[in-house]
Amino acid sequence: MIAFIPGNSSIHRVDARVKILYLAFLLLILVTKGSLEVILPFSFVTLLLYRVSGISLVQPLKDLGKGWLFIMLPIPLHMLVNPGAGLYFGVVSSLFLLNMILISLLNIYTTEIKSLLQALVFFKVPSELAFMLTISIRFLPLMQEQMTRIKVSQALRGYETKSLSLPMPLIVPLMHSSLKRAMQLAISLESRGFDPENINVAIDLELHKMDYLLLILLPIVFFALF
Amino acid sequence: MVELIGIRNLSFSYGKKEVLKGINLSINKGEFVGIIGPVGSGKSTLLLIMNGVIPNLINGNFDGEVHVRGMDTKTSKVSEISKSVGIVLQDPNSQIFSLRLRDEVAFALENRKLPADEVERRVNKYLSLFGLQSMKDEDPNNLSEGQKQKLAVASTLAMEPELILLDEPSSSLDFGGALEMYKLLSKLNRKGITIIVVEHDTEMLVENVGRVLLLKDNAIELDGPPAEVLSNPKIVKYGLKVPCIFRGRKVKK
Repeated sequence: MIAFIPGNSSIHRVDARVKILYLAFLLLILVTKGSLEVILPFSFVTLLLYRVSGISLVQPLKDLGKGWLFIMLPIPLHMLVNPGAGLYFGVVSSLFLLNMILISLLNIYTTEIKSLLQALVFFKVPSELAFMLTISIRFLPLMQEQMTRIKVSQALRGYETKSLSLPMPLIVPLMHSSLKRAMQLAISLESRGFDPENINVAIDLELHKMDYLLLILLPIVFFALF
Repeated sequence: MVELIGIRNLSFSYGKKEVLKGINLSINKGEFVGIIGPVGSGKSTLLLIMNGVIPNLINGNFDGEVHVRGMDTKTSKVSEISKSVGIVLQDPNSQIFSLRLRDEVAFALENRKLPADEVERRVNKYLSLFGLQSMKDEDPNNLSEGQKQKLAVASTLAMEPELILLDEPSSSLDFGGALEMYKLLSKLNRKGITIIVVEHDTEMLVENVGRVLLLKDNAIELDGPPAEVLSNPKIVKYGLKVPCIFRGRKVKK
């Protein structure tokens, strides 16, 4: 499930604000230096980060489900458009997507939602937007569970997913239950004194030695690369 | 008698679909009221009207006047009304959003900007009340449905509102759990808290509430003490269960 996985690794312990800075930095490297020479060592760094965090690579594999097909899609597409160098560009694009998704997921796996919300608000993301984002992350696992339930109940009635058609018997009930849940949640939040026009998020994050070290390191790496 | 909720000539509809019509109701401070009725009779909608969710958050054709502690629900914010009215919705999965039990209970208290020590005191008090104290740092997703229901109630009770609205609070609980829940609600009511509960299990209402409203065809059809309303033959006619204690009387009729 795409959710925080409790742990005590050094990545778990890094301040949520520092993690967001590094996430932005890593994404910047990917976007601006998208060649195989950069992406290959970058992939090594991604794998290393997963290793340090103690989170198995099987986790994103499970969470993405058929999303992996989307990651692999650039390979056949590039090969069709450019028969000569298509494979090369396809692999680069797929690795680009893969790394982007893996490090973004790692941030979610290793950061408590409350800390993530506080970090976003610290970086002046409007509180309404930050709250919406964190609530979405919170409800992702529930949506996944719901999807599994819908799949089972439709399969029990003989439904089979066809590869080239939209799975409407899955999408419609999922949309319906998600919208209903969202409405109920809005009612419940406002009934407990939550005022969307006046969200106050108290930031109780604290920087430790490791965070300061990472903050010092960040501009050094930045200037070395750019 | 201090009137806590005053509803005058209320009608509400979603487009052409009429949900409530001609509702006149007065609920006084300290009452324990049960609302029963067949499916689709407007019970849950009436609860949402009592805390201003309708018409503030849910759109529809709203006619009439609703006052909660003197506040007109049309012109008051739900967050303002929530200072006196707490609500527990039917499905706890739709309202629990925090990653830890303690955060879920603390949510409403932090919105009210209560001091941290008071928040902690109430979190401990209300989680203990439902036997959830030892799990306060756990993820609510790992709880059973019954425990989630208890958590949803605890997070509303922690607000210490004057009036508590509950939509089928025993629906996810086993018989023992439901009895326990009503015992607690009765205890709170004896302390002066007004409680309004929508309930399909009429057995739970017999000994606990002081007044029962029967909703049928979007209007209040019966309003009176439980002995009078729950033993009325109309109860069976509308597909509701007559509590065991009144079944003998029904046979005589």
